[in-house]
Amino acid sequence: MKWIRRLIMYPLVAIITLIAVLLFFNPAIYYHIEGMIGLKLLWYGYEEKANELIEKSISNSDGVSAELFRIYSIDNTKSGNYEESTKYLNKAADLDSANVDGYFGWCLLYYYRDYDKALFHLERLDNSTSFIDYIGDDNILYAKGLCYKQKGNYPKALELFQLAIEHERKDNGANSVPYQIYFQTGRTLDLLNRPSEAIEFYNLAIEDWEGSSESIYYKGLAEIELGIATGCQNLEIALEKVSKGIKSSDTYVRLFDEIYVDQVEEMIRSKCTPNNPLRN
Amino acid sequence: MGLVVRLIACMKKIILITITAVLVSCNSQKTDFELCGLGIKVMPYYFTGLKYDGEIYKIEKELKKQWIIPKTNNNGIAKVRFKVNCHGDIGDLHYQEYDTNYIQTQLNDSIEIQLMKSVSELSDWITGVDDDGKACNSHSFLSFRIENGHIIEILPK
Repeated sequence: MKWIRRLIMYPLVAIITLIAVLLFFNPAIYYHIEGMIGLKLLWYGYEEKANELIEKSISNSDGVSAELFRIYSIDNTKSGNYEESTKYLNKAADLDSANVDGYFGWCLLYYYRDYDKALFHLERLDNSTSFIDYIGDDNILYAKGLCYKQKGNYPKALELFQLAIEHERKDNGANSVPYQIYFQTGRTLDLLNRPSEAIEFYNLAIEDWEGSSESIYYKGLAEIELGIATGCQNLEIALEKVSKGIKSSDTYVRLFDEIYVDQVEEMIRSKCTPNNPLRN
Repeated sequence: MGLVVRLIACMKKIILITITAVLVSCNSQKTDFELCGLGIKVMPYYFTGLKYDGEIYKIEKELKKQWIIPKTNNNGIAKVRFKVNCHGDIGDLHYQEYDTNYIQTQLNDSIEIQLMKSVSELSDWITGVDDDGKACNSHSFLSFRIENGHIIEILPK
């Protein structure tokens, strides 16, 4: 038994002693570990316990950085713990608005659908720099455009989408405009009752990515509105693609104007059944 | 060496039992709903790929069809958190409400009653899968942005 003690117990006692000494002189490490355990528990869905640990960690730590507050907010955002996530993001933005506003604005836009608050952070970021910022993968002008579109201010949204396209073309080349900007420009034109122009932008989106089923779907609807024969055909193409899972989507959150199989089927039933050659 | 292996195995068991006890004690509600396995491993929807047949579009449609508009105290966000086991059963529902500044609050009672009932009746879940591709437990939530009693947005997906 002696060798077991030497082999296991002694190193174990030595390590524990070392950790105890380290924690005695620097207890912040302990609280940092506690916060990280909280994050892990949050991932596994034990939200109350997780946030209790995170709160304890924060209250016992000096000078929590903006980045750490942001990290604590991430899984809370993904879990819909709005009070905790916004509290941490507000603290992060107070400490370092330049590095947090983009992320905060992006979260408020996509995860909270809180367009006024999103615009506050996006505008503050945009005004603080002389170049076009990117938030997540989005051009900031496009992100601001999305806010205005969702608020129902379509002329302002259109203006921003067109500016975003202009900047993308100038900075990254004519063929580097993300298809989402074209798609949302098309949607906005549609909402402004300008279907012919909308179709032009849907075509640009499809040209960039033929998997953009949402562009094909809304193009079909615009064509039906204009009495163009290919409208129903495009709805059928969109249905075929969406049924195979080919469409714009996100792992975490639904996208703006995302389309679904049931939705396309219903539209085909209501707009196309009698005269649609593909279905008869 | 055999002794060492046994000792390590024993320590592993003790650690596992301790973690189980801690996690199970965190898991408050006791209902008929049962998670698969020991119920310890419940991963988020975005990791397991948990989906609803017909996706959020179908959920939204069903919910709005039955929705009775509350007349007062009707602005804010309501959230229903839940788990879906490896058989696609939903359970362990928790409910929270926030005002438009994301502070927990209490909205009209009928919002909670309606949403808890509707979400608990969602029965077409396509289970999430773990790293090995096996059906597993997932946790997820649905949040409802409510303006003047109308559901204007359902998230996350």
